[in-house]
Amino acid sequence: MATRVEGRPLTDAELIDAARRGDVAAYEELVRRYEQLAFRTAFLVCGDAEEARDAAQEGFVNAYGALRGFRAGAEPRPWLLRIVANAARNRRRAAGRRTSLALRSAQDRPSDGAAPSPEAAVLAGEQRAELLAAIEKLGDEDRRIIALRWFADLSERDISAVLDVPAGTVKSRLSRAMARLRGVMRGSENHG
Amino acid sequence: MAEPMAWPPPDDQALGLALTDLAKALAFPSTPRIASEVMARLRERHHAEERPVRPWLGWRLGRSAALALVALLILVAGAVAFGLVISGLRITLAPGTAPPIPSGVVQSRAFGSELGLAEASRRAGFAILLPSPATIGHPDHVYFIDFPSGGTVSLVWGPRKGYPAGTDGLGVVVTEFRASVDPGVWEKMVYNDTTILRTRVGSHAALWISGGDHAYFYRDANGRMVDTSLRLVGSALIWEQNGLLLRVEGAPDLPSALAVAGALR
Repeated sequence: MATRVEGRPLTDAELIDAARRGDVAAYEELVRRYEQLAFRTAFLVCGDAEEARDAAQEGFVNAYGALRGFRAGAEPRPWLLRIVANAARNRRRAAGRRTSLALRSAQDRPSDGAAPSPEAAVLAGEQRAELLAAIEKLGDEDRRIIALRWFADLSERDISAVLDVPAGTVKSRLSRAMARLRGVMRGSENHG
Repeated sequence: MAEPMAWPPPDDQALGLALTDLAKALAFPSTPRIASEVMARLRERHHAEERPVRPWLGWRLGRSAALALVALLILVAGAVAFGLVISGLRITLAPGTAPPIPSGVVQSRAFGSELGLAEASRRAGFAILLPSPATIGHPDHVYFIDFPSGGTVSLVWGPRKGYPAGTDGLGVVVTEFRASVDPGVWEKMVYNDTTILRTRVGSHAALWISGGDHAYFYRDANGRMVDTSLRLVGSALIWEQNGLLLRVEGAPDLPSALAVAGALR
């Protein structure tokens, strides 16, 4: 069993280390720690909630089988996300469909907890809807990298693992996607 | 949004703020139960790949023949030992003189820290069983890791006559730790192409697990289930003795493993 220091939860690396030694409970704790992030990442990759659930499960099962090859000292988070994203990508390819962002506004609420005027709330809601519509007009690659960065809140390093590209490529792709998004929004304004 | 922002966002920074704001207002589908499903699938995988137990020689030769073979092995081992004693020739490798084991192997096999026998025994809290030197000599390396509860001692030999190098370059590994195995669980948790043979080490029931990737579950001293599938390489002879779970890995066949196991004192 992994040894716990009183009052301190085990780090990811400690959980992985324990799981590699056969501690099943440690692996379960790691899965619980990352199930939401893995599901959301898979959802953004394959665009379907059921497929994302299956991909996340498949990814964690595959990761368990790959524990023996996990490089000691490596970061578990991008390693797990890479495996889950691979499973999600395979499912997306098998389905052969274009992914839709499929995220909707949760509700027309002030996002920062403030209490804006009714006019400001309406304006903010319209701007969010316009921004979401603009994102939907982007190509798959642009839409996905923006969603991973801003909606799943992944670091460039995590995105590098998810997309299986170098970190430098993530930076340049993200920059181009942002520029194209601003372009789409300017075009909407001109045509609106 | 707390304050009105320029719209459409004029630069990446403003666009980033707008995206952050949008993210707070977006709803992902609710996260389904993933962890419990994953663990259930891992357990199912063990069960689905279950292979029938093939009693070692039980049907083919009968119990008496099996006992006779074990007795023969013990006699052979004893004769060899006796021969070495009367010749006055005893070849042993002192600790520290054997080539070091690559750190990658130590890590992948989760051996832990290399220690002297006395220190490893002190940390483990039990007397380490050693094979008689006439069998395979003094272990080249002794490791201790604080896992599972109570810790594990691994005795490691490099390749030698009758015990060639395995895939990771090691000869024989004897592992000793406090644990118990539910006999009903022993035979269920095996993978494809794995065969389990019932045998005995002295008076103790034992299993010889060979072929394919294999695994078994055991309960450590605190009663927690531990999965060995990530630690095993090659065939393994497993049995309980004196409150310890003992494992011999790396022997090329069952008689070679029994020779080491039967010589543990």
